[in-house]
Amino acid sequence: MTDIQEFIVNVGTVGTSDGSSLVRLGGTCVLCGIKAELASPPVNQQSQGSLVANVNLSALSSPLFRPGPPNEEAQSLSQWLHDVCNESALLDMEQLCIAPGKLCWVLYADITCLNYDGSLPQACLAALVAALKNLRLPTIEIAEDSQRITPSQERSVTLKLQCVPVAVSFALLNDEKVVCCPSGEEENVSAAVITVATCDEERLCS
Amino acid sequence: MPPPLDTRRICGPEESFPVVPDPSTAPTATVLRDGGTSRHDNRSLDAVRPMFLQCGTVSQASGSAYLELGSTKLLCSVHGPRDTVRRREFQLTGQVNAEVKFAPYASPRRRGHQADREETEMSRVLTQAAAAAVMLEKFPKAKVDIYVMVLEDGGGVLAAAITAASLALADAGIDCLDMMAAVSVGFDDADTCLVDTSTAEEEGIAADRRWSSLTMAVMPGSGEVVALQQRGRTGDDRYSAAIKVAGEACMRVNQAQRSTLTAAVLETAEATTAAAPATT
Repeated sequence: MTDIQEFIVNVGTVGTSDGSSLVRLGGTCVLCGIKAELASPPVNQQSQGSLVANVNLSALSSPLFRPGPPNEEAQSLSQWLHDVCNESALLDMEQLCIAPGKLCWVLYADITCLNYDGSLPQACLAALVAALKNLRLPTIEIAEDSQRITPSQERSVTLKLQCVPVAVSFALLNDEKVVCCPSGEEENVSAAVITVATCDEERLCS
Repeated sequence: MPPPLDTRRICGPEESFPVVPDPSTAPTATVLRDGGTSRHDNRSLDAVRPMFLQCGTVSQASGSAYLELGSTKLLCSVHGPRDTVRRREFQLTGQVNAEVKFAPYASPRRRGHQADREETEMSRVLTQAAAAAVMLEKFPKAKVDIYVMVLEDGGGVLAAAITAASLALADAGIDCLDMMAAVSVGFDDADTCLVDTSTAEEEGIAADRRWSSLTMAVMPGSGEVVALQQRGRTGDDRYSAAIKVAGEACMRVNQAQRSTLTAAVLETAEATTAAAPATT
């Protein structure tokens, strides 16, 4: 009951992204790709960058989904991930600042579900954390006079994560048995599914 | 003008721009390197990049296929035949609907979540090709949906999408007249024809007016063409030569499709025999 399904993480899967990871949890398969762009920091947080994570429950992953804007489940998953990142203080946003008040990194993390078979929050969070660890950014130089932005050829900037949040899903079956990492079928027949995310020091963050 | 606010997704800052290397230091895009003697990845002119194909990748779909062609990676899944959702889509004959979508991180420049013109065009070409190959009369009043998600764009995406879609349709057990095999070809106004163009070559072709590109999909059994898209100015004779080269390359692509499908069918058959109780 407490056995976890086969959990595989591959990093650096997509060459065109700045950081990527592929997570397989039983049948569920999720791919996270991060693209880094430059922007002006927000007025109230002049020396911080931002992380924008969105989950895409693509139509190819299950017959339940249709192409188009994200459905309720995708929206709530995206919001949950956003909350976990904020609550666990996963990333010190000041690392993403290049020039206070002028330039910062914006990390667009897009998590694509390739096969939908339960335990999505767990897989999505693992993919996001792995992709952030895999991220490689160039060093940015700003010319003083022309304000011209020049990226370095090598990508040597990596991010330091302040903690590694981990999520586990549980499903309640028949009002008595609790199953860990439920598959899609188990989630469908369960009375309730709960996902718990914790940081390193055993503190709950969601 | 900043894009309209998307209320259904977590949004970043209003405006952000990608990191672009200094254009004055970046080398100009060329189709061939070393003064026009060799391809960027040292392949011969008629070589298709190493291809990896796998069936049945998405367990939740009726049929699926994963394709890697050089650095191009895409996943195709087929759902159906299933009922049409909206009443106005109802038709007495069967229907096929295909959608090609690039993941936001698939290209060097980040793509938006909504389908842009390139994706819409590719979806249309794939829909028309699939409608020609699939036996629509076998599932009247129902619909087959083909979804292609491009995970990494390394060149030759439309051709790879059609090849993968055909494999996914076969994996789903949907009756088709034949498989579809597709390839992209770049050709100039002299004698050179490059089979299976990569991103570097496609960029070079777009920048050089002497070069044109062609994507062709055929049904190998009859040799009939189900999709043909050509870009660039070219003469009749070069166009015919390129079509011939593309046709030959499609046959080779089809060999890879067939061996993957055969292996998948044999594996399923062995698994079913092993699972079935032995009868005396």
